[in-house]
Amino acid sequence: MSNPTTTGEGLLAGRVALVTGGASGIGLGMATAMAQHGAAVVLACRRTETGEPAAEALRADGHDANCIRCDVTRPGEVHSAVAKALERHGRLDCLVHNAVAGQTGGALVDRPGTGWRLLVASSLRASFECAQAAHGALRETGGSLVLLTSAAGMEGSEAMPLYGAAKAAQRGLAKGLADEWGPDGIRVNCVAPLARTPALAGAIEADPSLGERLEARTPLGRIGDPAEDIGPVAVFLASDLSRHVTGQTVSVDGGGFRGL
Amino acid sequence: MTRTLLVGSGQFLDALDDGLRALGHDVTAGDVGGLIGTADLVVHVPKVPNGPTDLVNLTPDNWVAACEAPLDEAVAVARAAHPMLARQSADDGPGRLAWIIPTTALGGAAGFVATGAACEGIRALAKGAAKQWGADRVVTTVLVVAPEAFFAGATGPRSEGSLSGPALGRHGDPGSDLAPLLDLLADPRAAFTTGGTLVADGGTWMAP
Repeated sequence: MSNPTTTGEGLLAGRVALVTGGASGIGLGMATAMAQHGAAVVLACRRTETGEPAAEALRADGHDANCIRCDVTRPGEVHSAVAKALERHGRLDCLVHNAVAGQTGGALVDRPGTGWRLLVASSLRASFECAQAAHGALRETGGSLVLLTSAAGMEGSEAMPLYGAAKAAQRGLAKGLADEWGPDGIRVNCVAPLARTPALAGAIEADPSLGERLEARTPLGRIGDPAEDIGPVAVFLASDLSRHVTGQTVSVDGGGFRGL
Repeated sequence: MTRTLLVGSGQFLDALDDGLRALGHDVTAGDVGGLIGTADLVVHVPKVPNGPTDLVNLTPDNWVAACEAPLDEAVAVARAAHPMLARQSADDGPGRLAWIIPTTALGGAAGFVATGAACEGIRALAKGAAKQWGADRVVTTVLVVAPEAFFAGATGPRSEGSLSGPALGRHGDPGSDLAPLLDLLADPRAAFTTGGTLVADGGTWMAP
């Protein structure tokens, strides 16, 4: 990397980032922050009816954004999304795999159902597919692969032990891939966020004490905002600011998990 | 006599089997489908590929075999082991479920990305199981061993994460080094540790 850019609002000027699950929540927050720092962003999402308006809103604010339909549990759509991003922009500097689906709460002694398979497909297998699809393009740019994980993947989860297992597996993937892709100049990192997303808002609505419990264990005293709190870490990991950071998990949760 | 079930296969497991028998364990070895009855200790050694493949060269089937299948098997072992290990009385010593994985899971290694992913998943699974099953007096441990021991006789990765070799001068033997640790963990006096990762690689991996 001969001319790193490490200052200013143009940290990501001329760069292209693709975010899976980019239509809402943390994915959109990360995409928005990267767009605000100059990146062209591709919102790869299963539901274009929410992704298209999100991209339009970013364009209305003067950013370069578009939406591509991508169900990450379908490998062909993952590879197609990367190909379309390259066709549109000619390069890819950062791929953030944020999308996840599947319900895996409950007793571990119960037989895992379709929720476990969907979780594995959307988080773990899709990480593999994203990595395979983006490797060549990221090697060209000395780019960055970012996988979304969770504190549950580090401390385990009583309520969702299988969710914790899948998220931990993504961390394991990132650590090995950082070693494997370092010689190609590609960085691979994880982000473990806690943010007020539509999914979390729904969970808090169902269990009002959840929000209080989450805030009580958070030293900074509040649940993060997807764009204002989580987004800057995506900017960091997509930019030259993190040029010497790979194989790491960055917890962006107000200090809730401090175990590493 | 400690009733021990070993789930897995291969040279490493065979050596572990011999070591536990020498320590007086009543050992049954088999696959997850053979888990019936009661036990004091269940040990799962996940079956993972014993040679490197770069991720970009992995086929989807390779990926499943190296990552998703071992993780699925670990979930199946946990489910099958729970009724064998659960205790009705607080007076009984706990039943322990242990996994053995290589330190590759902790540091990650080129060529073993899928294996590292599966093993990190197993570590979190062990923590979640410990949290759910504490009241049933089922406790869990992940024993993390040197890849040189885990992949004995195969083309596994070398120990990562340290500029120096093992502090104790060797990577460890399943029968003489690791079986005694499992014996210790199966003892009721070890009952108060659960969900933890115990590194047993002779002092190579000393990360926080």
